[in-house]
Amino acid sequence: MAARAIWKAEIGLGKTKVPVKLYSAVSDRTVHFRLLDPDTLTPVSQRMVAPDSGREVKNEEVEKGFEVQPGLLVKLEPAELEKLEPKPSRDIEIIAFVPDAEIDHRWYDRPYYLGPDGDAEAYFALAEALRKEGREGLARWTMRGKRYVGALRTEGPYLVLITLRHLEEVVDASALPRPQAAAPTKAEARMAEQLVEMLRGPFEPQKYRDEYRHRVTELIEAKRKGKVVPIRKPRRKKTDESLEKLLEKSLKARKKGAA
Amino acid sequence: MATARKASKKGGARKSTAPKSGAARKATGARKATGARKGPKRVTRRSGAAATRPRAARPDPDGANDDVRVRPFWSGTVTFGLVSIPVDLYPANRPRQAGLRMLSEEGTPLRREYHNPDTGERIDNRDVVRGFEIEKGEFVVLTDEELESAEPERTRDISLDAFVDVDELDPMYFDRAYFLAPRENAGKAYRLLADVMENNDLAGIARFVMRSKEYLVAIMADGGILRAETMRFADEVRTPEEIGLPKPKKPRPADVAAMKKAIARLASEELPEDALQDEYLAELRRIAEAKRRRGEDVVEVEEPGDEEDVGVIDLMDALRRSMEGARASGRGRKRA
Amino acid sequence: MKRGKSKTRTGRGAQPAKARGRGIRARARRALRWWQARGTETCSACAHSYHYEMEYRCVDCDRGVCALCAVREREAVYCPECA
Repeated sequence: MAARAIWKAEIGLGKTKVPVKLYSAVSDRTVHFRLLDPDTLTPVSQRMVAPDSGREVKNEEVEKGFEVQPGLLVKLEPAELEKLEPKPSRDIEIIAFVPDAEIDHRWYDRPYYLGPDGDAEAYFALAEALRKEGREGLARWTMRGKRYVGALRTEGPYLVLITLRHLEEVVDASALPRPQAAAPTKAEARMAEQLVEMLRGPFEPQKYRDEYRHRVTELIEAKRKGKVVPIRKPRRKKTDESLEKLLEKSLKARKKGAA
Repeated sequence: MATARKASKKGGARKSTAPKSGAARKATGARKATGARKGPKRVTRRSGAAATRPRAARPDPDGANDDVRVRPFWSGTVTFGLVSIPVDLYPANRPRQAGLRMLSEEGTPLRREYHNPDTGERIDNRDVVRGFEIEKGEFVVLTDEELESAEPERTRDISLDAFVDVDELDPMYFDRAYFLAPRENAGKAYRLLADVMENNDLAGIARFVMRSKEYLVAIMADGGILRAETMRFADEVRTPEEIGLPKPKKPRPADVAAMKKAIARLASEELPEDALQDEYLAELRRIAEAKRRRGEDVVEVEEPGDEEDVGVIDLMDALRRSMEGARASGRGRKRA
Repeated sequence: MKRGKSKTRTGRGAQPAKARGRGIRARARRALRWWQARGTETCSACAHSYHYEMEYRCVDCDRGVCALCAVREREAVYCPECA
């Protein structure tokens, strides 16, 4: 089942242009719920009201304001906001090509696959060149009135574009103090290393299946048929054993399991 | 789907002070010691009086809004073998700044209300129920307790069952990030896990259920702090075949060489400083500030005690206090 | 293991207000659930906020929309613009 392209654009690297089509790389499998009126089980609608009068304010009457500081807003007119809108364009502008390791994984947001749009030679040549050079491109583009910044990367022989977060969107761990804790003993450290080593392996995403999703689907089926659903509460596991003892037991359990 | 894709590595601006264990340190070669980590340098530079009042936006010369309002988050237990590490989860991503508030003509911030579309009658927030559409217009109501019962263990435990090289994680899979802060007396076990992972450049793969959704996470240590990056499940990432991309063609060497030249012309060893700036927000702020200076359209608002913002806390504050071992405020531990 | 029974509710049955504790005091006692409260994401159609777990993505433009704006058509979800 071929997907429909979200967008068509041209990657611009100086004079060289590579026409591409953009596709979402994400498939939504979430079980979605609706918000309902408890009496009639009708999906609710929403409206905006002025808190003092309780009067509804229709979309067209809504004013927009920017909070310049807490408690202080500046109203912005639609005309002023319109001026901010970026010019429509079909260019994916590459600002720079940086080494693969340069962008930390915390910045990656949403992935898109790129497919060739006419010039397949240029497309696959670019993908191959990027792969061989071990680089990714920092790209900027405007889609549907919004500006995006992302990374142009390769996934096998294909090109992908992954949007990047803005600076303010990532909380830096180095701004936080390390948690207070006693240093682990040598024995504990050694056993932990052993345990981790036993659980170590290659990353195989196909191994993992969303089990919960299936349980929820079953739950829905059961309720639909009118079955009564038992409420189970997770058991609180309490243990007074020392960290060292627990590590020891874990190792034993793993060794036995592996044998 | 490429599984051995070399993921990007951060540079170690913070050197781990944990003693290196006996296990041989893997020489990955990809780890850059300095300068390579492109990240929120500006965001962390901010110091000064911590905002104690939730919602307080610190004045920000750089234009990046530090005001983070989040709800008290999720709590659970990281299990690793038989070892349990009770933790609190906090978002490590700030919400994308909406920028604009919706106001009435008089400038009062508007409030959202639910109502029945047929009768127009108002429905209070707290009365709304969640349901699944089994047929058009027909719904099955599901309570939080029932949803929890679908998999009770996973809604409390983050079970670590595998460790992989950080390098192997493909960025296509990454979604959102959360910090794990140790609770109760979990400090030592937490530190132990963090040390082992950091010393060996490993990420722990785990699963848990939060907010009626199962998450696959890669837990990584960053300067002694554990961060869980949620990942998409394999069936949530489309393959080139599913999308219908054409079969790959071996490119001509001349074309590849030409592309390499084009790449070389734009090559840079570092990410440009302003690459990840939110330009739209900056422009918005500029215009708003200019109007404010002219005294145009400025409205003073008293923040209405909004029902929906119950229990909002200041993220950085809560994170800091968690890490320092104090109990975070506003703790009515709401099961998120 | 604690066991309880949950009521099956399908269709458009009505329920008396008292049974649900619709009184002011009953309502105040119930804490606001996460899915009833304001979230971290912003709907590209109505600009309201919602929680990430309740997000719908338009299959045509991939923008995030809230549950109230999402248009469900032919097994797929669209934003009001693309529908």
